[in-house]
Amino acid sequence: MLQVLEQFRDRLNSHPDRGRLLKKWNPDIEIRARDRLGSYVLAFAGDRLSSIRDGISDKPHVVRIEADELTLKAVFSGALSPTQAYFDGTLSVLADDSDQVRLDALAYALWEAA
Amino acid sequence: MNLRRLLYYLSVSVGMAMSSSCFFVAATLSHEVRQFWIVAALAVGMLLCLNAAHSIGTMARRFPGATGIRTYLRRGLGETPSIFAVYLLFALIACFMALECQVLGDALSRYVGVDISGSVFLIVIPVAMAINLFGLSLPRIAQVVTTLLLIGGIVVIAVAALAASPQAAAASSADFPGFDHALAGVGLSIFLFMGFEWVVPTALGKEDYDGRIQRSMVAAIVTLAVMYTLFSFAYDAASSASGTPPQFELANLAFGRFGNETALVLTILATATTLNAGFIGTTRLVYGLAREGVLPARLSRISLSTMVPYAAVIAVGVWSMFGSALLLVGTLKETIAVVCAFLYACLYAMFIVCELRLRRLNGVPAGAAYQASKYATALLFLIFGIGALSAGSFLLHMSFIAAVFLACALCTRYAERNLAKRAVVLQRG
Repeated sequence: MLQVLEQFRDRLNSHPDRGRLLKKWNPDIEIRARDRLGSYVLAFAGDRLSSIRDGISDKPHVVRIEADELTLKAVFSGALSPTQAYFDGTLSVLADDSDQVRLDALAYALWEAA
Repeated sequence: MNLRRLLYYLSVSVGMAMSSSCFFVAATLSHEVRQFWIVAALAVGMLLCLNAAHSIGTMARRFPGATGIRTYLRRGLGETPSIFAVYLLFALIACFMALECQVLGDALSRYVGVDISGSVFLIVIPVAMAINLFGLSLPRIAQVVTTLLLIGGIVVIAVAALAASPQAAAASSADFPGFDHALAGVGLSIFLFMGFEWVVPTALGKEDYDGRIQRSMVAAIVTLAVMYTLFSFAYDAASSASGTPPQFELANLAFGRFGNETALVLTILATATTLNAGFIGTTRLVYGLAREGVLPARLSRISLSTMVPYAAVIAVGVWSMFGSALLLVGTLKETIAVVCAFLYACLYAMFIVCELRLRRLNGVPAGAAYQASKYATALLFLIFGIGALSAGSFLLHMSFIAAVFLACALCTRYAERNLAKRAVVLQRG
């Protein structure tokens, strides 16, 4: 899982539209696999995905994503559309509306727009 | 902290159900059934909706954060019923926005003394679009305050009107109104509660799906039942059949020369607690479905600077204005209200059956009594939904419903073809 997230980070941070997509957006994204213990936190700062660490976030602005590990790997590697997984009920996203739209825009820019 | 959250969810659930159209429908209810039978009709409607809330709450726990009408129904009933239900919802939204603007227009017309009811939608809907296009939103406390003011205001005018009304002193149990009127009464009561479940996607944390959301829906339904009982009872006792909007009649009886202002404020509050939140929810649904392929892909365009799905906002606004323009054709207010009640009864029945199916599919057995009561509730929703159509011209209402169902079926067919095409393209890719 960590390897997939690191590849996601590298792809996102090297994307030409990264500045526009992540402008002034500094949440923590907490990712939890339902079928495994533990979680990861993706920290965004300075218009980039700055770090990936174990654990949970105590920031006020947190987006929580939850699914089984297979689904998470598929979503963060581009093999599965997050919109599809979300409507299928296999991916749970707890975030306000604008964050959800931004996450979807990120997925589109990274894997579908190319 | 827990109580604050519960209060917030309660205010969202009540606020989404309590629209200005409810004043009109509550008055219509008291034309169908009188006095004691108002309480009976609302009690039956409340029990049905509590059952629906239980099913929806159970599914929300299973799929936290999900878009209920798409996710629950797709997992429980399959792709086609889920897509069909989505289009039913869109039809409902157009009808509801139209009715809401008309009722708000009636209130404004009453206040200013000039008939502007047919043109209010030309201002209200563009304002809602602008608010959404700029990504504006109010803090959560605003939702709580406006809803509490609304509940308090309605209870006060109803109680004060009852106290001031000479007929109220003589009120006693009326004769049974007849099965057709009783069915219509319960059917109309569904309209009064519909929308309580829109609190589900607003949960602030996953733990809230474990009980707080469900408790808030139950509390909201009970609160609404008490409020509407007082309002409809007071209107039944005090109504002068003058054609005055019911909230104005009661407020004038309660507060004399401040009555018009009170009624107008309550109407605006009721519209404010429902219209924009409904607009936002529908916009997000349209955006998501466009991304999925159920709706045309161009409806998924967003502004990268504001992250607003502007294409969906414009589409929902145009669709709402189309619905509102239809009301200009004739006096269809009552038709729109009963159609909304019927469509929502269908959706609640689908949710209940869906929950039972999900239990079976996931190997969680439900007791025989549980199953029987849930299936009975789903059936009763349909019966009372059809009953609502008998308030007024049954033939006209059925024709409307038939047209809506046909349109939804055609749209469902289109969506399924689109999804199949996308699946082929993705496979080739």
